Amino acid sequence: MARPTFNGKNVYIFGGSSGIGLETAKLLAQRGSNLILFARNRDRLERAVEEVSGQRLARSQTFTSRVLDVSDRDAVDAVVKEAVTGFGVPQIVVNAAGRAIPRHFEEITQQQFDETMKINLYGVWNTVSAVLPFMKERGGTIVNTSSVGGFVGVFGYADYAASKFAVIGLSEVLRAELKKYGINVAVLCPPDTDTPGFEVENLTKPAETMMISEGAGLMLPVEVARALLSGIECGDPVIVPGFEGRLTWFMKRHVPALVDFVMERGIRKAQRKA
Amino acid sequence: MKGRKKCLVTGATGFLGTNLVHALLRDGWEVRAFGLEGSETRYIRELPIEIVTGDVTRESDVDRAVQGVEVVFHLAGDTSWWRRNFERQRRINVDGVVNVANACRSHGVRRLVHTSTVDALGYNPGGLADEKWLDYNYGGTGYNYADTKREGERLVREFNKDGLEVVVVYPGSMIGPYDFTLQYGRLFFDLRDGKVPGCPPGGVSFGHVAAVARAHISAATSGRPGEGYVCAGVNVTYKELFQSIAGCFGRPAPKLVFPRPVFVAYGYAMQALSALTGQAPEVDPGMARYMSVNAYYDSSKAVSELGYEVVGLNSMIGDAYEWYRRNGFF
Repeated sequence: MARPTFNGKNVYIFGGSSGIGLETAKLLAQRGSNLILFARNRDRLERAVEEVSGQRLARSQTFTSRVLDVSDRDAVDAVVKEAVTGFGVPQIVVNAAGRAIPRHFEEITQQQFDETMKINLYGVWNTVSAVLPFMKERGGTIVNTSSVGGFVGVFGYADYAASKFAVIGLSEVLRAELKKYGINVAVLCPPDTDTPGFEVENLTKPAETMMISEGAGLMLPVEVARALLSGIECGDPVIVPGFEGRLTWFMKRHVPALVDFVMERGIRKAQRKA
Repeated sequence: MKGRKKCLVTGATGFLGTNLVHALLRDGWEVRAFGLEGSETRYIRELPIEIVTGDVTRESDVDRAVQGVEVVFHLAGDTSWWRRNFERQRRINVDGVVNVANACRSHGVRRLVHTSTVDALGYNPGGLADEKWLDYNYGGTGYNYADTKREGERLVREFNKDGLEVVVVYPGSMIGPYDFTLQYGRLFFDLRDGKVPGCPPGGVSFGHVAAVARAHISAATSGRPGEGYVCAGVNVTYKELFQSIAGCFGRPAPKLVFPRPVFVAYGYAMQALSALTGQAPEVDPGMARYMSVNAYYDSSKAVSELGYEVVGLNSMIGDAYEWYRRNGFF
């Protein structure tokens, strides 16, 4: 496949009103893409579209948004179908909607588990199912967002890890299955990133989780977005932004014991303190 | 009015044809669309119209298609530049026209709107040409498209009698929605990707394809029989055109304007290359000469009599961009 250009392309960003999704939208606007952002909150969407419009490269670009909860399958089908007519056929789809509420497994309610799976995993399933009929013909790129916590099981992230590990598996299968349509599927695995979502995470984080993530740096959303775009351009199957993230990916695959050792040290330290 | 007016559109699966079919439906016509077997119908097949396939060079196909309609829009034509297609081009652009006109005559069609091209008139090296321009200066230059369209038009005009009304429309270059064969789409891609080394030295007259389509309908309802109408549009240099297109992508157009001899030499080189590859050349010497002159036209007769709308360059380029974009061509 030829190296994709972003100029003139139609990009759907689910979870595009904040964090990594919003930063990706801004970078794409600078590179000439046409964008439609999907998120739950109308006010935030409107502000995001305004911010994205400010980054435009050319007069012809279109920026718009639709209110959508990705966990609602029927809504996703209907809104995507409308967006194809009202905005245009997608060529690049970024799934950036997600959330994490770190807690001890024993404290995670059934409801929290359901919600996490619905947003983080079913959300991807729903959006890919909805866009696929329209993307099959001309191909394109789909990027699903997992996490470093999608290949390393981190203390305090039981429900999150279950959903994000699944996103990696799902993406790997989709990559194989959708290749025949000229659709390149990638999975983005950011480390801790300084997003509104991350601030919320910190409210409930167990001490052990704090200790583990303290050792790692915090990436900026724009850095993750940059890595995402260059990952798309290179056709990378797994996009792990940042040196630390890539090191973790490498170690987890080749010296998993070392990753366990580092994490366990953090956990013990926190527990000793308590 | 009792019932809807019924018409046949030949070349309905083409760029202008698709636009015309959509415009006719909006105006409440009953449409029979005629296209070559195997041509792209995706942009009209969901519409409430009748689609028949056939070849304008086959009398029986044309005869069947014309039955029961009041107006025929004859758009089907071969715009190829490639020498290898010249013989077929003549059959379509000359013999095909006669087939259609004969069928109109024998089935009592009231009006035939024939789509010619401004190229069939020639061009005015010193300014604008209009319907009365007499110097056909493409003659003898090997521009087979213009030659055959001119001949087809001359022949069809002889049918303007005995109850059949013939009106001729001369579109200029057209740009806008439904360019699914990417006649101009490729230029959009190449200018976006910075792959265009320079601009041809000439200029051209551009119309919005939807406006040209609407003018065809006016030609059917209010054009004067036996008259021709230039529906060209804005007269711009290729450089201005390239700037407008590149601007859609926030890119600069190439600064270089090829000097004419260089551009013609480039045409010869591309033609030689096509002999080796067996692919139609992107530019050949005839095309290079064509793109080296300022072929500008005056559309004021169509503006006043048909209500033809001359759309600004950026606005029509913007509409074209929007169509390619929505349909995922970028």
